Amino acid sequence: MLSLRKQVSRSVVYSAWILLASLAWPLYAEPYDRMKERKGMVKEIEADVRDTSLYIDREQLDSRVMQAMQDVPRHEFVPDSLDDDAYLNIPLPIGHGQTISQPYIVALMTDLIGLRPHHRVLEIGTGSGYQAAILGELASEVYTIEIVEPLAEQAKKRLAQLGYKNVHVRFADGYHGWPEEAPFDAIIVTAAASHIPPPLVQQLKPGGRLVIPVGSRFIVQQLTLLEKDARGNVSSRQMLPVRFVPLTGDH
Amino acid sequence: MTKQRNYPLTSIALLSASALATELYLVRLFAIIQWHHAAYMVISLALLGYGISGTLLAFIRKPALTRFKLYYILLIAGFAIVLPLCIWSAQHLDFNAELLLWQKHAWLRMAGVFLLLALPFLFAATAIGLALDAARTSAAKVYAADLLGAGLGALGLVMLLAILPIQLVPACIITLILSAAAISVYELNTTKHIAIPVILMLLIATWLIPQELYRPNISEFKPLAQALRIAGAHRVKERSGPLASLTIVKNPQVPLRHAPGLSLYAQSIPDEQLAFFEDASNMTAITLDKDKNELEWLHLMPSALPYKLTKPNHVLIAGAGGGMDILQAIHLSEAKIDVIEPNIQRIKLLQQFSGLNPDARLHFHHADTREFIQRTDTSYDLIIFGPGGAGGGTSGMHALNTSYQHTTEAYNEYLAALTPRGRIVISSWLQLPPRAMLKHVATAIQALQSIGNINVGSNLLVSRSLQTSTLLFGTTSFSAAEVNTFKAFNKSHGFDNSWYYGMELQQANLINRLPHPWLYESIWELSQGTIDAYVAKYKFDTRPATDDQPYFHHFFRWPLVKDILSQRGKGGMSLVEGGYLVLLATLILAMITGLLLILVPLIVYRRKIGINNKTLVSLAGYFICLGLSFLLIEITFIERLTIVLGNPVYSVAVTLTGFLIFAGLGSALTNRLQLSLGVYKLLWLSTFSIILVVSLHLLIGDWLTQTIRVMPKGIIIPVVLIIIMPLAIPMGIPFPLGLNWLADHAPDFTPWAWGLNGFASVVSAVLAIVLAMQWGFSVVMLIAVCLYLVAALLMSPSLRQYSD
Repeated sequence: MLSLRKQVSRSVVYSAWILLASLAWPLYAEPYDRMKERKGMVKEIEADVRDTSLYIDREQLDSRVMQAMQDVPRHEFVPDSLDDDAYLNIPLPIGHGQTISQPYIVALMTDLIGLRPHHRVLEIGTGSGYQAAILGELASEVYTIEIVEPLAEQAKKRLAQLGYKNVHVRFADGYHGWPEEAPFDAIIVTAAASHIPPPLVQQLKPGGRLVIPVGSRFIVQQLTLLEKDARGNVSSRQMLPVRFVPLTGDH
Repeated sequence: MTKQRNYPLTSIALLSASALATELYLVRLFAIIQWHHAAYMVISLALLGYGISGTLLAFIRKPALTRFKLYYILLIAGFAIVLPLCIWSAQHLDFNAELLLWQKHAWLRMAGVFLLLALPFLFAATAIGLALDAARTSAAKVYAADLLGAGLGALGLVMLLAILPIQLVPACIITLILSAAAISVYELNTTKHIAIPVILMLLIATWLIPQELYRPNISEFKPLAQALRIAGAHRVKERSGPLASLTIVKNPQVPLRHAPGLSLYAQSIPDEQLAFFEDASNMTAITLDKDKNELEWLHLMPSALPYKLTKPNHVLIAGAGGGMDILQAIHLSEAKIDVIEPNIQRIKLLQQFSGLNPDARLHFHHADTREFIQRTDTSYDLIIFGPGGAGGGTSGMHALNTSYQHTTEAYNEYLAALTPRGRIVISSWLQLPPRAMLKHVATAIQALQSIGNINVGSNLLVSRSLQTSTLLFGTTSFSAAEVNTFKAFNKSHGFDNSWYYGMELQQANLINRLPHPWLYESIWELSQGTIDAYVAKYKFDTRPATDDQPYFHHFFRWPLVKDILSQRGKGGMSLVEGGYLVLLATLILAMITGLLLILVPLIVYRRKIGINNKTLVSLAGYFICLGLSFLLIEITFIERLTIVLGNPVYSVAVTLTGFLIFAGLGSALTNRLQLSLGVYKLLWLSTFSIILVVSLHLLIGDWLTQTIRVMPKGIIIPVVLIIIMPLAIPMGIPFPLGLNWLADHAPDFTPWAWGLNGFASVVSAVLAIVLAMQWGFSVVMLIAVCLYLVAALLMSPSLRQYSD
């Protein structure tokens, strides 16, 4: 039979363990919940892809792209006030009149340019840096240009903190591309323009792909994929990424 | 308030002028800081202040009537004090109308804006309603002063906007309100030694506050705000006027390069440009007129096509924009160029910043395109409509704007102004699935068919770049040589052929591939001559717009609701043209709020009014019908006379002022006519006069419009006023007639009558647009006369009793 003192000291030790465990739980639980949320977000993206398969010409996206979507912590790229919404499949405002794109759009744009691990990719419109981080998971070097200085600075800091050493951020006018590092295997433009800047077409390698949203940045209407063939001829293809509006039966 | 000399008539007129000026100022302000439909929404709901004032008056009636002078002056002072606070706060609430169908918090913010903006109107309307109540059987005089003042307020505000920067307007309105307070002190013969110094102090404070505080605080999502956020960007010039607020932005560090639809094969790039914003959006670019070699890229735009097809002698450019169409006409042809622009400020700024100055070839005309074409003897080889500043689709945000430039009647007038082989050229931003371009094509086909063209397909050419599409049409077929040039141009620039006569499906959609060859298929069906059958089955509303339903940008159809619901939270509102739904939501919200704040208290309070339920319902119906019908007619005339007067702002100024002043005259005559005719006869006489004049307008309105449009400019405004007079005078009679009856039989109902009438006006302002979009303005007028008839039927049993 245990003495009373031993019983008391054992109870104290148990209690201390329970207390410690309960204190440690949030530390462990937080990333676990975030991972769960990210998985949920990826599932929603998969559903959106199936819904729009007729338009985007594919039933599912590259598994590497989906893995990157699951790995990159989107909550690190949204303002603290919107932390709870970070893994909803919607665009969110990030200040300066800009938004972080809907995750489905990010995944689709990334998929459309068909990245390989050795590819060098140029992004115009860094924004929060989320798209650049996804690209950083998939390509060898990512060059990203932002036109709003505070956003460029924040993104540079954030990406460095998260360890994306292969992502290079520059505060500049994206219209001229990044001629010192050209040509690129792929180019992603995340801001709408009245035309595709000729310097970007010139900085695209033969066989390369460029993806650009047509419509306003805030409410993306459709993505346009520009392809440059081996002889340097370019053609484009437009598709509807957000839920489309089908025409009536006769069409 | 028993002696006649104590009526504060001048003060009422000034107060009413200030309230209407405030309303119109807010419409302008919200069009700049938000979007046009937000302006409609915020204003119509803010005007609920008028409705609520009736409820408030009913509850404070006794003490307010006992101490009328004090309450009246305090209410005016309250209006002057809350107005600047509300303007400032409503601008800083960070409310974004574009997020309404998208983010739940946006509704809360919108509710906040409504409540804030309702406050100043609540003060103004309570003061006017109190004066009406206190005047008893002489209410007609007070009401006349109210209407006359409102008419002058509308005119005054347009003049103020023309001469002053918009940020100086609030202080002017507040000065007017304080003048109303000061004058009332003398009119009511009350204690001057306290009131006047206080009013003076408020006046000094008004002008001591830095006027920059009233500078429009533009939503961060508007293109101007976004452009200014880019390093190096700064405003180089700003001009605000009654038509629009114009801003030019320069950015030497990150220069603008805007070239809608520039060829994918382009090697040269546009040189540095200036961004030219209208109401903080609708961006166009100002390109400096330079040497031909530096403007090589002008050849690489889809809009260069007409100059490859023809060598024009005379070109008309509808809308100066940023001058890109003008530059193309100068450098790609040797034609004489007439630029038609309704905003004189735009012409001046463009000349100052682009170097495009009038010379032997280039002429600028300050006019509306239709007005100019109607008056000119010149025939044109090309009439050009650029893509405007929308960019990437209209997102449903322009759905509520009327556009008389793109109606079947307008296209007929343009066709009549062409040389035999002349062409109309219309460029439009591409939308997926296409909407605007299909509406242009349907309108063109309908116009061509109406002048006897049968094989319309051969009169059309349509090409498409990555971002824009271009339509060319005229009264004659395109020749084989022209079609070959068209095809060669498209091929060499990387543009798609979307339509030429004899084109096969497999020739469409090859370079800039869409998910479906929508344009070709749709134009093929439209060119078969069955426009109605085609548009009936298209998901979007692509019916040709007409002068009676001039809503070119209205593409909404009810089956789209399903898509809108599926887009909630996904930011796809632009895909499904939700602008119209925002208008409907406004209407529903206005009705619910009105119900809660006016009708429910009335039902609860009804026993204290001292009349039976049947009379109560008749009276409520009478004042609601009057409120609804007055605005339905007023708005219809503002719209219909836009074609006559050249632009909507002049139409608001002239028509609104005319209606209010003549209706005021009608009210002023009410008591005299009542004495000679009797109240019952007067009600029916005014009702039948309204019905008769409106019926005449329905029958000969179009002929009248066409006749007045070509009259010498100097006499158009007097003629318009003469047309308004026989309608507006009887429209001013029924309301004071009802108030007179109330003064003798149910004085406690007076505040409710005022509130219900105000509430109905709020609903009516939105309802008029909803009805016009659905059925056209003729139907709106028809509904309005029916409402006048219903009002007379509801009131006549009570009046007959009164006459007896």
